[in-house]
Amino acid sequence: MFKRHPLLKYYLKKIVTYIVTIWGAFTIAFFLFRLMPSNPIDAWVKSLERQYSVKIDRGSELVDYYKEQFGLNGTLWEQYVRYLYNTFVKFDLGPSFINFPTPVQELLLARLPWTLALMGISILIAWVLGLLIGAAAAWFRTSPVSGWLTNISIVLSQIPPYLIAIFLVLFLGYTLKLFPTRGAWDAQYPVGLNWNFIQSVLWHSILPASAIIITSLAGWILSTRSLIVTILGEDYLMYAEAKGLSPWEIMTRYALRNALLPQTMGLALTMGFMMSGQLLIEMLFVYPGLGELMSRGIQVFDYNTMMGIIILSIFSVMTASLIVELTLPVIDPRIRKEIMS
Amino acid sequence: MAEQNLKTLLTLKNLNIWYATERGESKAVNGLDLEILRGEIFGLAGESGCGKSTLITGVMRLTKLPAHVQSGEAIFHASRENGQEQVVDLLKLDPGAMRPYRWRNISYIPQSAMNVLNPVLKVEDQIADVIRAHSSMSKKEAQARIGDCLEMVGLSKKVALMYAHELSGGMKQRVTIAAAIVLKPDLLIADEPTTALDVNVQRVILQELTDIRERLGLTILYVTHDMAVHAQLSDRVGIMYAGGIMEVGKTSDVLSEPLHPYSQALVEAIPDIGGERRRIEGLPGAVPSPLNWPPGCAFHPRCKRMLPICQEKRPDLRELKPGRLVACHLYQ
Amino acid sequence: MRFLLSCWRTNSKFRVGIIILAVLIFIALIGPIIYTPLLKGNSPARPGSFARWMPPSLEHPMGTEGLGRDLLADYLAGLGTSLTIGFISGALATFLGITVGFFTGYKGGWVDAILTAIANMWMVIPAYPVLVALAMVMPTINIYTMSIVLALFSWPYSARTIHAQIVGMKQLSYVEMAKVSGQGDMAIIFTEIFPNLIPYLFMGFAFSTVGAMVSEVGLEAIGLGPANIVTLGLMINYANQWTAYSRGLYHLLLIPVGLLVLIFMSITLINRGMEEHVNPRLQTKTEK
Ligand SMILES: Nc1ncnc2c1ncn2[C@@H]1O[C@H](COP(=O)(O)OP(=O)(O)OP(=O)(O)O)[C@@H](O)[C@H]1O
Ligand SMILES: [Mg+2]
Repeated sequence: MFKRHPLLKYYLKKIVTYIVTIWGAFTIAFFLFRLMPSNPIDAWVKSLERQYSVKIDRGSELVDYYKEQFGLNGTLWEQYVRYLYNTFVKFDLGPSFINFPTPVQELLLARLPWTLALMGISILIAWVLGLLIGAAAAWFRTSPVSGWLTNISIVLSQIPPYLIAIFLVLFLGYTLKLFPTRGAWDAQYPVGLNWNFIQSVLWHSILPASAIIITSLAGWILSTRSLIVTILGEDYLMYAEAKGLSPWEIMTRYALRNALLPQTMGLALTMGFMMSGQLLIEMLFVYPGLGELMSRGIQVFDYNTMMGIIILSIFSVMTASLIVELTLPVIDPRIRKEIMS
Repeated sequence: MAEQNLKTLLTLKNLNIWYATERGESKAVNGLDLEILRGEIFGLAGESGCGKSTLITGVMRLTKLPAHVQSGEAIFHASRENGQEQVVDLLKLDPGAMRPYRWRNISYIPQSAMNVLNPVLKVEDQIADVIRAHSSMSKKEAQARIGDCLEMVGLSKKVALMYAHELSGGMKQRVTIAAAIVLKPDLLIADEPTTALDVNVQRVILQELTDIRERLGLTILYVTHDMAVHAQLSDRVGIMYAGGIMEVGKTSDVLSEPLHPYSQALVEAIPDIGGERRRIEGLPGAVPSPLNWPPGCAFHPRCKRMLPICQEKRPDLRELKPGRLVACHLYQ
Repeated sequence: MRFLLSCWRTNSKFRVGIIILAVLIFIALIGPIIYTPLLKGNSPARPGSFARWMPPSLEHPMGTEGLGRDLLADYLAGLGTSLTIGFISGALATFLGITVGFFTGYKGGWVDAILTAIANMWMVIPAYPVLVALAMVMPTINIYTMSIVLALFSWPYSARTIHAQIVGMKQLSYVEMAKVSGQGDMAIIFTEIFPNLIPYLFMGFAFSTVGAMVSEVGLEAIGLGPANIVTLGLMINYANQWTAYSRGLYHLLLIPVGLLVLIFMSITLINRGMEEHVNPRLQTKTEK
């Protein structure tokens, strides 16, 4: 059957890889955490002991009760099977420790919009700008401006966003006092769909968003530029020029259009990585997204919350790349051909 | 075809196209003179590396660094819509000003069609864009015209809706031919369009080109190292060596009675049509490097009939008898 | 080596990068000579060695900081440890990556399939949370354990690059020729494949080094690194804790951030220079 339907075989293979990779990554992450010489209850008990200078009986009923609540009872193997089942069948990530007994998935859902809005919009802005600037840099590749732009981008693209963020905080936040540096909105306004609140949210997002845009913009400029420079050297571009098409048409219909495909795929993958990629920025700006949730979770070694964030991240990365892989043969005739042959 | 009635279409005068290399200027096209007449198929022959493609990109104004047009003229007699003729020097035009002449007046079939089609656009779109750029045809007319041209080169109309990767090498080459004739240009420049194809396809395509010339009255500048192809196709041939023209004449004359010692060696070496590129037998030494042409006649180190003057003075391309030009001291 | 030399000769980015990095390494190397006399027998990391917030003086050229440590010593020692962690971890990751990439790329088949699948699983786990957690529970963390932990999370990248290169190279005619002529695997790897991979090894190393340092600084900057080793990341964290901005102590932040930016910049330039050398199309040099 697969002989006659190579496309079907391709799709099946990708979907199986998707499931297996998610499962594998989940398993690795689970054991990484469980094998660490600490767990939330122990950490909590220890901190209580330290705080009140008392000795707590590790075998007491109370401790056992909490262990059960957090899925820490039984052998490691039992814990794994139970967690796997709860996660993928019941979509239940267990209670959080930082906000007991709120389930982790509820915490994640509350934080997700902030991360999605801040990261998603910044990444999208950077992508569009990067595509346009990169295309211009490729088109005018012999001009010194393009050379400098590229050199600056090369350096910027490798500087971690949080260092840029520190600079921004320092100069625009503290020295010039232009923008707020903490939180997502001004506490004096009620949360809701009112103009003051929205304005305050936008205002607060400027610094963290700029930090993300600056670093990822540099990367998009570089990749677009090198893609288009390669395309400009292709025979079909020389042919398009021989045909006497306008430079604008050559740039848009021949160069940019051919670069758009790989760059859109790149965007999808970046969006997948955004959950985990910019956690530090959120921590630095005390932005109420997943990153800040994680930094709180880690301090008390909150397994469930940390695993929740990791699973969400694994899931979004894998789903983004699955979408890319499944749509590629639909939109690119060359890839379809490759699969078919 | 009676030559005296033919008007000049393109005249190249003292054309020099050089490549700037680390070791100095490589003079790939070196003081070349050539005249192409309206309505003929002019064959340009010469060994690999003698500068044929460089010449064409120069005339098409497609030279890219490190290649650059050093000097020379390319006087072109472009026909305009009102039936008038307009004379321009293509090499003096601004890059933007060249655009209206492209494809309307001069179209091009590239040396290898493997990669000249945009992989993400349909064949139709890639021919339609040129129609849109240079004429006021409606979409319907354009589509009909594309279909006609595809059929003229022996393809089905359905090819219009296909992508490059769905076509074989021969089909791609035919698509580029169809694209080249879609606006009925004055001059069609074909740079070895059939070298990548197998002999049978090659033969059919050559036949189709001849037919197309008859039907549309095009002028074709056909470039190939393959003398057997010229014998079948060209009205006149020019023999090129070391970036210059050595001899020009009616194909039958040149083949039956080559005058220049280089042409003689070339004609002797003619294999069957589409045969392997054969090394020209009986010529001592190697093709000299364009970085450093021999002084005087560039052919003298390999020439069996060299005269003392050949080392000192470069011979002009002179008309021996009507329509027969040779650049050789033996005849001057 | 020949590869590096020809990069040096032909590429100005590479030269600039190497010079900056060499200067930084030199400073880090002579650091102990400068700061040992200043510390009067204390280790750079030991808090409370001196009075806090002393202004610059002959004894403490840059003054002391909020934990009573000599600031100059902090920076010099921090530069050294940050570079060391980066290089050790970069080398480890490259080594792991090469081994896996080589093996899977060359052998192919199910070994390749399984190892590649594991590398892919490893790569989609967000490294950051795990790193932070590990850093928190490691009972004794030092430069070396830290480097190992960082390397564990960056090897799949170099494995991938090497893998792709090898798969591409295997199809090259000269490798096929060698196979047909009956050369052994090892002979082919070392005579035909390895020499052509060298540029990619260097690039992988530079890439992993930057990666490790980025994660290291990230960990430290939010205060989750080991507090018993001074690194540039830790200095950034202290600067934040001491609210350097609001007190106008900008240099506390600018010096470590600036040093890190210099390091990243130099390695990036070196990497880019090598890439341009291998693939001249990327060059930004303006044509005449
Ligand atoms: N990019 C370049 N840099 C330097 N010299 C070049 C370059 N491209 C071509 N040349 C030189 O220019 C000369 C002419 O090349 P050209 O491609 O025009 O030859 P050709 O006659 O079309 O050959 P073929 O029959 O193989 O297509 C050659 O000697 C070649 O060495
Ligand atoms: Mg050629």
